[in-house]
Amino acid sequence: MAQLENVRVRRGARRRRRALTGSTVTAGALLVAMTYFPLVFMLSNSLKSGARLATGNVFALFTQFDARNYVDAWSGIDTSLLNTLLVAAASVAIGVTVAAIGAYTFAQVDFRGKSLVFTAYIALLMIPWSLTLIPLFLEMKDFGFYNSWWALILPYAATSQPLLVLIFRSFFEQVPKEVLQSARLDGAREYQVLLRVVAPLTKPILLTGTVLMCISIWGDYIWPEVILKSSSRYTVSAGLQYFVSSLGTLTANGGEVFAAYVIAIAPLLLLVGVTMRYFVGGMTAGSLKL
Amino acid sequence: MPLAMAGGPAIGTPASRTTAYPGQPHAGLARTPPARKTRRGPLARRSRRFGLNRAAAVFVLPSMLLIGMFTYYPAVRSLIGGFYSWNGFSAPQYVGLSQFNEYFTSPTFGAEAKNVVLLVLGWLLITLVAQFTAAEVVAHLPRRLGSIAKYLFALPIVLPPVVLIDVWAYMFNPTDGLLDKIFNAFGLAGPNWLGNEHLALVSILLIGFPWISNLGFLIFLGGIQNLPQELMEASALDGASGLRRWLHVDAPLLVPQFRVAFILGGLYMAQNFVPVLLLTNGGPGNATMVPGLDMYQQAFQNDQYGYGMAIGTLLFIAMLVFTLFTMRLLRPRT
Repeated sequence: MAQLENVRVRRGARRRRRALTGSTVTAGALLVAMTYFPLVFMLSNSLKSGARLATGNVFALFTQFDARNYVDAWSGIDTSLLNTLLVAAASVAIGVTVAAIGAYTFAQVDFRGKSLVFTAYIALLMIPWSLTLIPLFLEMKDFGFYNSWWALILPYAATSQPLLVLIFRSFFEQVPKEVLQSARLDGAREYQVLLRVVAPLTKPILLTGTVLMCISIWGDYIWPEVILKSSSRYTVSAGLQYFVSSLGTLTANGGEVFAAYVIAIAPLLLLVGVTMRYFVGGMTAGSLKL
Repeated sequence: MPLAMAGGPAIGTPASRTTAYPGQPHAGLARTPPARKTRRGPLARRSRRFGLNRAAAVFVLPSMLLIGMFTYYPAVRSLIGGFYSWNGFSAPQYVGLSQFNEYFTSPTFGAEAKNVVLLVLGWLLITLVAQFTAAEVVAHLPRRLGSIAKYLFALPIVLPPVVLIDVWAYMFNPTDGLLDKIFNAFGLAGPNWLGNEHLALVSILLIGFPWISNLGFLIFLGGIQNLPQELMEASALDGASGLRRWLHVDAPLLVPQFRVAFILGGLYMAQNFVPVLLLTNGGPGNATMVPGLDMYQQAFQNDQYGYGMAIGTLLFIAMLVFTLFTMRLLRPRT
């Protein structure tokens, strides 16, 4: 009898849980739809001609597939996309390499004053970009870097240091010391240990660091706009804004504006989509280390 | 600027030194003392020699040099620069505290302070509620659906802010914007979002609706998924459910996540003037003027670099106070 009661209770619980799952799925779908609806309209509008966009029904999604907008938009922002690739490649090459070497030293080498130096890195996270914006601009002018690639590359490599060193260090620490020692006994120099032993073992986090740098370079608008005089050197966020504001009102130029947005974000979404697993893990781990 | 979201403060202790695979090789060595002696000798000497090798610290130098030149030096220069009046050409002139005074008594100071406080508080309220709700929903989805939803919410985090702002500029457009069309579909006239002084600040906050795709979502989701399973089952058996369980079991355990999300979100909004710069430039009137935009305009449009750095310093102090206050308020209970 008691057993029967038990079964009944459990069945009730299961039914309740199934109802709960149903409403959770509905809520999740609703939230996803709300998150993506501006992007859906952006994509739909980017494929419509000017006339259709001005007079047609905007809610008629994906009723026209006019690729001409993309051709026009591409010629407007292709330079800034290429600039971004160049700046990102150089910044990542410098930033990730330097951070990996520093993080390896923090993780695997003992030296006097290490904790003090490491505290200096953590304190760095307290310095907001708004505090350094003006003096960095003045410093770059002093160096003669105004309107040059170095004015982007060096600060990008530098500002990525605290976060990258923090997340790299915690992964490098998990490489067993014995593995490193045996490599050293085999006659490997320290840089060879880092390059041949540590780096292959920690590829995901190095990749995460690269992706994080690309995202922030892609999204940076203020710094290129301030430090570069020629708009032909703008990276993608500033270049996109420059192009869009040169077009004037939204609908007069049809979907060209929307096509430019799509072109600007497509490479980044592709990069992040492919590396999503690492990126989400690394970002969560990094933020909790803070 | 790069890694703006990540450029939060240091919260709590840094990653503690963890040795992975603890004990295994050591234990093996310890069980055989003779072998240990012969094998450990050179190893230990070698590692001690390396450990004491000061030259090893040289490896940190490239990284130190970068942050020294491009973060620490500008920060110090900014803190000093506020005391000098400088237009970028003639010699800087020491003016003491007068530029700080000038800012406090400037006609826009009241509006700027009010707007930035409203923006930060409003932003924290709506984003934390949205991100936490979404994280709870995703955590309770069936496993496969849950991981799909997680990636779908995480993907827009990487959108460049300019694109998001521009797309919302299209939504707000009073003549053929999307929101206007939606209002029209219901037979209503849409408001002039950015042109109305009562709505402009709200419109700035509306950008990014429903505010889920942010770092905070991933932080909360990680926290919820790491809640101790036994505790959840025990509280379910005790009949705790819904809001009660959430309030008494989940929320207290997630205080560290709330703290990180609170500080990151607050610091982000306190200095984020790009939407204002692109959409309203502080207007209508001073309805959306914020300290960051004032700083930007003083330096790069009026050539008042010293005055700009004074505003930057004050903003920095306000952010520091906010961070320390939050860290005390949301202290993890032990």
